Amino acid sequence: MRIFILKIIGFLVASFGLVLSLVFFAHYTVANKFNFEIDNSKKTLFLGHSHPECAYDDSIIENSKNLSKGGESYFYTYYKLKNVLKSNPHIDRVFLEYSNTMLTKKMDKWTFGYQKMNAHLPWHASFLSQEDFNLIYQNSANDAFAVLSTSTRVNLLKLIFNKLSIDKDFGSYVSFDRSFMPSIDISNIDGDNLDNRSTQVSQQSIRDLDRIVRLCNIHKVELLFIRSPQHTTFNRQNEDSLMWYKANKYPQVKFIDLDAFPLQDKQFGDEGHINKWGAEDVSIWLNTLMKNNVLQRNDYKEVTEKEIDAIGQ
Amino acid sequence: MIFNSIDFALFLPIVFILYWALQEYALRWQNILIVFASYLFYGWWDWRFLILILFSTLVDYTIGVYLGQTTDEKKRKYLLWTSLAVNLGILGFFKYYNFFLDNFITAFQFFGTEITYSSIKIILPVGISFYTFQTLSYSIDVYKKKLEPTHDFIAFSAFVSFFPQLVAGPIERAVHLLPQFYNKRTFDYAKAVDGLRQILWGLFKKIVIADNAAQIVNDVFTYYDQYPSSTLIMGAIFFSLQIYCDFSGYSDIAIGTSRLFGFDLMQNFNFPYFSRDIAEFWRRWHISLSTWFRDYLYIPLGGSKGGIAMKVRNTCIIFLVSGFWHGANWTFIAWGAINALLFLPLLIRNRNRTFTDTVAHGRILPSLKEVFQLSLTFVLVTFGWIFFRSDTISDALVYIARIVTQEFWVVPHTNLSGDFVIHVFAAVFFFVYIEWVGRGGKFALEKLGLSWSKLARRSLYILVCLFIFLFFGKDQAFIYFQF
Repeated sequence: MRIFILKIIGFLVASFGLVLSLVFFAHYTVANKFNFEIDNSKKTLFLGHSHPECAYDDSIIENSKNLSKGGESYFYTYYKLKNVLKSNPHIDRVFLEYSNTMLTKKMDKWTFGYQKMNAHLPWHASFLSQEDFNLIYQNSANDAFAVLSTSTRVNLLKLIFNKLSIDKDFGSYVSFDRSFMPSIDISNIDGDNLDNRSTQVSQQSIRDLDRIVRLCNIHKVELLFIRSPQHTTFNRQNEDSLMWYKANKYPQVKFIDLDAFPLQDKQFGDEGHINKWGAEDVSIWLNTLMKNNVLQRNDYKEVTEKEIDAIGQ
Repeated sequence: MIFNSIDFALFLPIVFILYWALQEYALRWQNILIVFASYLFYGWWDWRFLILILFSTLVDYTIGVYLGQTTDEKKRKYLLWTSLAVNLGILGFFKYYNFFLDNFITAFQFFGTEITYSSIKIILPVGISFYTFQTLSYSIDVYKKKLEPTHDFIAFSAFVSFFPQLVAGPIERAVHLLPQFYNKRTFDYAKAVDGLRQILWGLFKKIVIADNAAQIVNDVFTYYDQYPSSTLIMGAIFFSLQIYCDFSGYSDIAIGTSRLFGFDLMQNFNFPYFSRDIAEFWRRWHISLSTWFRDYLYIPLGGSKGGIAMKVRNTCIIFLVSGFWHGANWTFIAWGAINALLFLPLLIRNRNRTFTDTVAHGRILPSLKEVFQLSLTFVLVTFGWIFFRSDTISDALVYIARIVTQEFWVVPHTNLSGDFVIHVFAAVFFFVYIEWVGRGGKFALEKLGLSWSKLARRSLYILVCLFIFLFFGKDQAFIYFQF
């Protein structure tokens, strides 16, 4: 019996030792070897969740790179931006999605919930600060452990297959080729989306947004908030809070609001995302705006609003 | 408490050490500890349902005692029927009440009569179908005088609630398991090591294969109306793997854990996907349930004694009841019916016992003919699983229709990351390889590597541990808990 227990302990120690070594090896090596460099010609970045992911076609918008990823909260965007800016001093402008969903309490689930954490954390786990690691661990030790295993697997395979640079899974423009049919699709929308009440603001998202603003200041990169087009049926929850935070906490950050950008139903993939036909129109318009240096002007807001109104007419 | 949780990882060693520390004392103390640990294990979900187990235990124990005291056949029958009524009554209420009510109302509506009713929200106690069948086996065996009624209430309680197999089997026969609680158990090193190997392989099946395949399966079966044929086929195949690894993984952990405590449980799965026809598959799949139905339903119905018509009738009954046992949904009944239809041609042609040995015994690879037989059996079984997994019969029919009508020659894709799906494929490849190599044993790791050097053998076990860690996800309940 004693021998049995001792042998079991020995086996467990060996296994745990190996697992721990593997965890450290995978994360440490990826942290040192991963290459975040992007093409020198790309001066502008688009970041955020699935709305910008489907909205800005970087093959149309000159010198831009869309690194948005569906389901990404500001927590993960911060780490993404931190590494990309560090390796790409040529980047001088960042468009960051600033829209209704990004500040809702639901974002806490997008940051610490198992599903989203499992999808995003493996990309950033190697670079996580001790403070953020503790934060994740405190939210759910079980989930954190489960995601750590995914992260180790993903990073080990990156090393084995030498996939140590940015690819589509890191974030990219996604061409959405479905057309929205409000008469049919609205009935499929879940109750959560139809609820128009203001929901609480995620303080975690605000904290992460602060970090992103500071990061851009440090790197002397121009940060612009952008709200991607949303269908009229989309639930604009937290609208008041969204505007309040913009006006009071981030007055210095420019805000391009494309919420009312005139698009037809068929240019939406669903209520929250525009499809490739919508993205084409929006991207061409934005590209022209940038080429005409409108964004550098003090009256950029009036000019863009006028232009949007003009298209609508 | 579920086997693949941190709670169980702490619970098991504590109970193990306490249990063997008691081996110097009277046997009764070990049994008391088992009852206590089992109630704690079960109460971890919902302590209120402990009352059900306790009630079931008391009823069958008392009936057993009375059955032993009387020789009056009429009284004995009355006692048996009481046990059947109580156990099946509890099962029927918790599991089938709303199903029967809904179908009853629908039938009335079909004939134009509207009935107002309200269904009751009933929580299904975990594993109720398993322990009900186990206690029933006791009453029936005592009634048939195959087993002496027990007068040791603690031993009987331990038999009913034995935590390794309480919630998802194997469904033990009283004749086999109960006497083990009467005998002194001493620690057997080889048996314990063997048990640990089986636990390790069970965890691999559950955590690495079943839980990860589940993510693909859930996605495909949720959005089946958006996917091409190739993705739907992939989804169905992954479900076949998921259900096997989930359930047989549980059985492996249950059997392995029992061995740690000095008990032997019956084998529940015998590499069913290495079967060459449906009959062989059913001799290898969920053996404890199949044999339960054989002993307590098929044979009492007349078995195969009354000619072909009776054989067909009884076989159909067994498959339909087996389907219904799995859940109160027409999909399970359809699944049972499909399997009956696949099985009957073999039965009628008297070819249901063609394959009784291990496929490709003594050879590394199967012959081409065997590959064809294995593949065909797997395809047929997988076809049945589509009904088992779907929410409704119409969902299953649409799923199958889309397999036939949608595009096949496209690379399967899901909403999940492509890399993740590839990782799961890699794990499945490793799993199938180990299962094939180890198919001669009771479980894949039983004999595999025993002739290797210590270092090589331990490296294999550590590799399995690594797989478990690398594919560890959010702990998910076992599918069969809901039955």
